[in-house]
Amino acid sequence: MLTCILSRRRTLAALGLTALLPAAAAAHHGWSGYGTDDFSLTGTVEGATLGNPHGVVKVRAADGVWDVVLGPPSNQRRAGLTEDLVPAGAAVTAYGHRHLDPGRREMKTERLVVAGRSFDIYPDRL
Amino acid sequence: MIGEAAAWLQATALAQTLRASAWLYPLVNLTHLLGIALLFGAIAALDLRLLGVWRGVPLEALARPLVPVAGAGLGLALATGPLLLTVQAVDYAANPLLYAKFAAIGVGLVNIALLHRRAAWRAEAGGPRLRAAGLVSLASWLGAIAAGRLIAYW
Repeated sequence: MLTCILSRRRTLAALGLTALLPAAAAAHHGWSGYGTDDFSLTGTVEGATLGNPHGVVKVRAADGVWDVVLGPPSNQRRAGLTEDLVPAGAAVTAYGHRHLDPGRREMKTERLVVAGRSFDIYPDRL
Repeated sequence: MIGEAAAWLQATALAQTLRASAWLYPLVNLTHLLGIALLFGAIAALDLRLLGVWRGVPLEALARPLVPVAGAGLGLALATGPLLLTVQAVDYAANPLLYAKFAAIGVGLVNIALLHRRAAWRAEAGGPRLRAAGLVSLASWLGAIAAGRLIAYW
């Protein structure tokens, strides 16, 4: 009986350890890695991949090349955004939220405006 | 060097197909997850027994179902992981958590090899060698899963 309780306790302790391991960290997935203040970035497209696991547009701005992170492919599809609509050299403005790490040129995008045309990647967040 | 290999990998037709597919990538992703679930679910139970929990249950009786289930899970995870890697190989190759994950998997595999080298391990009742194997196993697979999950948040 006693050993049963002890071993059950040990099992719980071991499983409890598993809950402690994945500490906080942040970026691409979800919005937890990004600030709450509205942020926008204007520049020219260097290249874009809109596929899995999520779209990224490389944007050359005044201070360097940024990772403008979009959503999973289904979001781009719903917004009507395809890779041929973000060609290299196109003028682009992205609206969304900047990465929490100020040293990092990365933002996550709610709305992307390419050559004057607007694509709402996360319409429910706008 | 690694950067060049990653760029090449990311440009392959396989990577392009996975990036562009509506259902293939989620399917591979799901299979990877299923592999991890089978591997860790089975191996955690076995590791706890190695650590001395459920001493009344013979190790042999637990190992017979749990080792093949864990092995199948490991096989699924190993088969699908590299596919997921190709999709964004350049980014992943620059992510230190990827290497932490590989290191943890390496430790886990060496631990398995060391334990299984002696065919008689299943007949043992306990002891420091089995306890050490259970502890290293739990730590390495937990580490691999944690590092793997955090790759996306780096």
